[in-house]
Amino acid sequence: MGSPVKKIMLCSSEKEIFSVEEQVMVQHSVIINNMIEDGSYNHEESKIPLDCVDSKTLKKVIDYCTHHTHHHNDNQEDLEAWDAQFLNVDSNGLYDLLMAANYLEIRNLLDLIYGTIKNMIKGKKIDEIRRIFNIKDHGFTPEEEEQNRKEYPHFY
Amino acid sequence: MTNKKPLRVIRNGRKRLLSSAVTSSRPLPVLPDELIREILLRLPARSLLRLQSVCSSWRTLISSSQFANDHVRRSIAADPCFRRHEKPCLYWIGILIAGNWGFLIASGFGYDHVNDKYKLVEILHEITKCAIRIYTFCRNPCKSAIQDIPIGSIKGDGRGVFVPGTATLNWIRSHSTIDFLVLSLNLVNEIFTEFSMPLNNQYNKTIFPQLCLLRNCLACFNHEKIHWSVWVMKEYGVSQSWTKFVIIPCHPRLSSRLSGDHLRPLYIWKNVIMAVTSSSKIVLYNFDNGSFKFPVLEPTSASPSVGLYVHIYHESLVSPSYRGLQVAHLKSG
Repeated sequence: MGSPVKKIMLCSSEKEIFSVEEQVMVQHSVIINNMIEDGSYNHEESKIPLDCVDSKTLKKVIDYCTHHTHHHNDNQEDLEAWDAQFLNVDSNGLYDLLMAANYLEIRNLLDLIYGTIKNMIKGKKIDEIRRIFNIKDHGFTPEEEEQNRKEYPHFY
Repeated sequence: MTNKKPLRVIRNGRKRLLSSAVTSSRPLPVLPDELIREILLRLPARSLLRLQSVCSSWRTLISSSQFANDHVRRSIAADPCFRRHEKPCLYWIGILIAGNWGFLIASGFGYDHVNDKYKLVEILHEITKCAIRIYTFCRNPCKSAIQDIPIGSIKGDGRGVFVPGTATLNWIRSHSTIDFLVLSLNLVNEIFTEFSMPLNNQYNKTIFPQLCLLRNCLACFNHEKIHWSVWVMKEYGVSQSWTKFVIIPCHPRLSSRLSGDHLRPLYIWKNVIMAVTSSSKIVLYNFDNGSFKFPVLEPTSASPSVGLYVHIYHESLVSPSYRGLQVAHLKSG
């Protein structure tokens, strides 16, 4: 008989409470690992408030950490296929995941998302990149912008 | 231009899988600057030059020297690209500079992290004497002559091996009583020192040992009759820390019987060492299961198939004229 799995409570911005294996979050999130290590989390009564992470995103983050904890011995291809499926989200979903992973300091999830956004930029024209990143004001003077377009027409 | 594309070593299909996962056609909400920075740091130098035209804040970010330094550090930590040349670039620079004064015996290029300076070193044989010159890339390049060293004894092709973090360039030189020594030039104080090689008096007399860089450590590659051994100096400059890292057995395709084909290691992935033979064959040796692979590099019009040099490189935004570029931007802004 093993001891029961230790759980911690995470509270989303909608005050919904998620109970997760402590080990799963400690392994992936630098912030939660620090909280457990320095004793600022009390297993009896505390829950970790994540005011800037909504329930939908938090559920996905927990899914990611749980999968990568329990399947880290899977072959690389299976893990990558799972990751690809996991990130099959719209741009708002991707943004929310990025902010949550950044807030919780989940390094492998951050790398995964950065890699995905990097691939969104690769080989794209400047106008398309401005659209993807929602850049309405490029901040160049009209003369500079004209100069750039004249000098590097194939970028645009 | 298309012919000169570097041969990038892709180890898995990750990129393909991930890009297919991006279904978003709507723009992303505006990202904080520090996250934009993290994304841009992951892009190759060529793309970044183009991305300077996206907006003025990206341009400011990409053209800062701090960004260039962080980018090259990340680029070196990641798996490298490799490329074939008809002549090593550095050698060309060396010959161009040396051409007027004498015969180039050895050269090297490295980074002095203490003074944040890239330095080019050339060791020349002039009519009556030997000369050592060190060049730095700046507005007013200067050269300096330093202490006398036994130049004539430098072995191999004369290209110094740079060991990151130590700011040293390293060559092998022969010694009258103990076969070989490592000759090390500290790029910070510009002083030569010497230390011993892993073996003494046990070296093959026809194929000299060679230095290379593996896992950011100085490494020595030596042919020992029936195999090649790779030694790594775990703690730079401490001779006791030479450790035999891997043994590569002779393979019929390496034609070692002739003692003419020498292996030069280029890089180590987890359990695979990549080396190049003196006839420019690429060898991948898996030291966990002892298997060999001989990938064939397609010749391009820019690099035909014979007499090529293969070397590891990392893309970077750091350039000799880098600070000059910044000034140009200030003027236009």
